Amino acid sequence: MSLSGPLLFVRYAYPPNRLGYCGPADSAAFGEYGVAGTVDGGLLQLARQFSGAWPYLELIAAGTGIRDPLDRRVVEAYWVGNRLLDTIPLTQVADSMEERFRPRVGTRFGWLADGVLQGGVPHHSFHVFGVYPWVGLLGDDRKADKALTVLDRCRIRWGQVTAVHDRQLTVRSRPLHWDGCLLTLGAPVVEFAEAPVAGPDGIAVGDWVSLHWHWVCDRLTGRQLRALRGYTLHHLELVNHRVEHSGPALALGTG
Amino acid sequence: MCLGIPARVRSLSAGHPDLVEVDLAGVPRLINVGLLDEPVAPGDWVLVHMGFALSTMTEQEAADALRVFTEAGP
Repeated sequence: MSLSGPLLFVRYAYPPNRLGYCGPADSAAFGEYGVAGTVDGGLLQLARQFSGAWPYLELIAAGTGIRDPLDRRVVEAYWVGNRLLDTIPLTQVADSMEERFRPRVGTRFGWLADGVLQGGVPHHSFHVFGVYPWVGLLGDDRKADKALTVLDRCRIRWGQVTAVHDRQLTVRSRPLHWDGCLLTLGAPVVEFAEAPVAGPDGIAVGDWVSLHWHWVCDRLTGRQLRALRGYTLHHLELVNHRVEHSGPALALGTG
Repeated sequence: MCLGIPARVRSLSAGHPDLVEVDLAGVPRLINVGLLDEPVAPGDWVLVHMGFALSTMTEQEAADALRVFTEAGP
């Protein structure tokens, strides 16, 4: 049975929240909703505090005529990707970026807006590759390794389960690779990942799963796997094109 | 947390030179300062994103940024 939208949101948003990177300060309370599988007004209040993800959910919902930003289709669109993303008017995405980022990024805003005009859609991979400052740090040899790790862990990855050990899974996936010019997917590696916040939930060897930081988020259907891969590669292509033509320094606003 | 949030350094770590404790929106957090070009000291302001300090800030820059975050959300 499919998870409800709010509980799907918990699965994807819990990892960075648990690490203290975003969302409400009380990650235990947030994670408890995922463990208990309950949904109430308290969860909505906590979800609104994810000020990176929440405006995207609002944008997708408004742009597709869906009333609830935590509707499962909306939540899936932002973290995994689905056809909703291709139906949102470009002007609506651009206006949202203008409202959310122009006051904060100053002269860098043109660089961000350019990403929208080149086809960026409100998917988490656009936020990671097109909005966060880490791509710009790849051009600094001293900082590139850490930047690559953050980019790889912060994006939603996909991988195939090779073993399940209680609350830990072994997953084979392709990490990001930076060759000094292009950001691509590298050769497959095997990694350990924590089970989803609610537990392994029947995930078995051979399943394809999504990962965020060092947690497994959810089992992926074939459709979801194709969508996650497709939107991720789309935004990688955009950022590579921009790095190639503008140089990483522009991403930092130093060019 | 979209593009980083200002945090004030509370204390340095004796065991790991790249780790410092900061006050991040009222919550104590350990962050990595290994990406900075200069060492930091207690009382300094840094811009933090995904557990790393990306740059140092003056107190005025931090105040300005915090004002924006308060108005628009971090």
